[in-house]
Amino acid sequence: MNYTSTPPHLSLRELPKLGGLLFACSTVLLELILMVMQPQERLVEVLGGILGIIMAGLWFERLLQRNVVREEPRPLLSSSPGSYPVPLQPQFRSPPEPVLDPADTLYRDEYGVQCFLLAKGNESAARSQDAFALDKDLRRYAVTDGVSRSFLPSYWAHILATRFVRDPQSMEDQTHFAEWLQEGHNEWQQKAQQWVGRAEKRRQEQSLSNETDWQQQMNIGAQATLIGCQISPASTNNGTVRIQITAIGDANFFLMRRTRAGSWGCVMSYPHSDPGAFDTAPNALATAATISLKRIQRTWDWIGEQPQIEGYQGDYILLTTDAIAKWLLQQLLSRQEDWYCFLNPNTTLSAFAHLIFNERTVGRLEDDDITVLVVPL
Amino acid sequence: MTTVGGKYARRLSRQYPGLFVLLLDQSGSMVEQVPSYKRSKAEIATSALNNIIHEMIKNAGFDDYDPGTRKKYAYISILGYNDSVYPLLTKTGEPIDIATLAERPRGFAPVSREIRKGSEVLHKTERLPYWIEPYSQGRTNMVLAFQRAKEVVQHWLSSPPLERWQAPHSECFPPIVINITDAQHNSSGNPVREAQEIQRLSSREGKALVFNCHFTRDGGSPCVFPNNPNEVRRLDTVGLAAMMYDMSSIIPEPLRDDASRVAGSPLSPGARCFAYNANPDVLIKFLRWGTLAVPFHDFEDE
Repeated sequence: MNYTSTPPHLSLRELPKLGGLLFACSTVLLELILMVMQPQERLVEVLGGILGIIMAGLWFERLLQRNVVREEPRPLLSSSPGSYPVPLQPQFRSPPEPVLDPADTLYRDEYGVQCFLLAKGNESAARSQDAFALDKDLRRYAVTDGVSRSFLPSYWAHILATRFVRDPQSMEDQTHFAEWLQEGHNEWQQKAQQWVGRAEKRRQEQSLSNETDWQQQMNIGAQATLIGCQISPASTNNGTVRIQITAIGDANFFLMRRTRAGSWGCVMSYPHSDPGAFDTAPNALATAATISLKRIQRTWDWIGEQPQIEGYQGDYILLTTDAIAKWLLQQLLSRQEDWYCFLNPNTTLSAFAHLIFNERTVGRLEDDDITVLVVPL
Repeated sequence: MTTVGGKYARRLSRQYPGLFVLLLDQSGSMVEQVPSYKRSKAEIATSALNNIIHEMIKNAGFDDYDPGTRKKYAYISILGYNDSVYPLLTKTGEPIDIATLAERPRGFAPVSREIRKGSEVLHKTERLPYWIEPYSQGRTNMVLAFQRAKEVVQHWLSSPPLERWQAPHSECFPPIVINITDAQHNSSGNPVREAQEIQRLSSREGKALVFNCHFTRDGGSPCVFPNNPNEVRRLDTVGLAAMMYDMSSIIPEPLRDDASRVAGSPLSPGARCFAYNANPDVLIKFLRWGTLAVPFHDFEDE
């Protein structure tokens, strides 16, 4: 299946049925007119008839849109009234100047999907321990966050994100999950062994006297949190989509929707909807989980329910790592709108970095790697 | 005064490294043997310090993008003192980062460890790195040691970041000075004043912290994190305990929970970063608390 950033519009699906009915009625009407009119008059009347059919179609479309019941964002998390996201114009008390590295890039594709990625502190994004991946055909998206204190977490984060979006069956049941995790572990092990080889070569070249038990490090292994989702057409076939969410740890999913008042609100946030729920030792996918069935079982239990929600055209999915998720929940609770820039296709990486640096400076945002993957529906 | 201002919230990281200044008493009295351990106080204290450096290195984790190197989350300066003060890690006394320490130990030595498995006690010998060696001679000039420590702390706080990715030191967790001694100060000057001078220096996260660990060969029962001067005054007749109590920082409120865990009971406001009559076990626990629990908050004791 090819990815389309704009799911088929509600009215386009319904129009063929309505059009058929209208066409039948208008054909009968035209035949009656043609029986009593001159040829010149007939041409004018035919054109008028066609115009009438189009107008009727549009009227029906509006009627249908009105009849679709859309879930309004919960008041708790809705923002104050505002307009469609406008290009970011940050207001700073003391503007910090982020230094962007050539490796700091903003992913943006033809479907409107965009991903902002910044590393903690003044680091280059290339050193971030977050990762993201998407598969346009399968419509699977993932953001992962490597746990700093584990061994080579950035490799693991990349492997997990990539493998999650490529394998739609990975989270189907515990058996598939165990296989998926084992394959990921094997890939990580290969990369880790290459890394150890380079480390040992460097040690010999520089005559360093340190000794490390690399096998012990490999056994300790890497850990990462994951937030992923799969978008599929809804069974009702009315243009809505079904979103299935998979979460391990405190990376977070958000579904944002415009309210009738024109502001943006959060329809769902998962697994956390309370900024106070983020702790320092979240559950994580560990390479070491593959060593026993018991550990695999425990990790599978952590995944638990993989909730589903319906999304509509115009909604946005946000997949984020923990620090920015916590900040975003605080923004929603305090009805702030700084986050609107995430939805804006014109937001530059520089503008995004300014916002992040400013929020870090004033202490509203923890200094951590930041990833925000934005998927418009 | 029972509270200390400051957030003390910024945990150590590659971006926000911390400074540790460790003062090691190397006066003549450190040569005394500790009967239960059959080693001198100098050997035990030195071993504890080497052990802590090794633990700090292990805690640093590896840099994913620089094969083999540890993350530079901490800088350490160790100053030995007796009649004079001298650096033990580098020639100049400049703090040295964890990654470099990891790669350049002075040597390796077999270290025997007891491992308890239920009722069974196993002895395991490991070849571990060391950075400092035991030494003991002369008097105990604590004033000079604190003066030198103050210079190191001042220089750290005012100097620019050492790496491109690091934040200014003024934004990092405040420097920690840990003094390990076995005897009373017996040179001129007032060590209390010097220690308090250090506590006036600060980063945005809070004031620099001074920890004191009085280490004995036998002595009475240890007194850890006292919060009452009267309780301390009873500990000795010459006023050494009271002096060291006054030299020690009050445990900042954000760090008190961790200290309570180490102490095994809830600590009251005003408790000090101080251990008196510490035996070797308390010494290592105290050092681990000062270097790993305090600057990380959530560090889990193994």
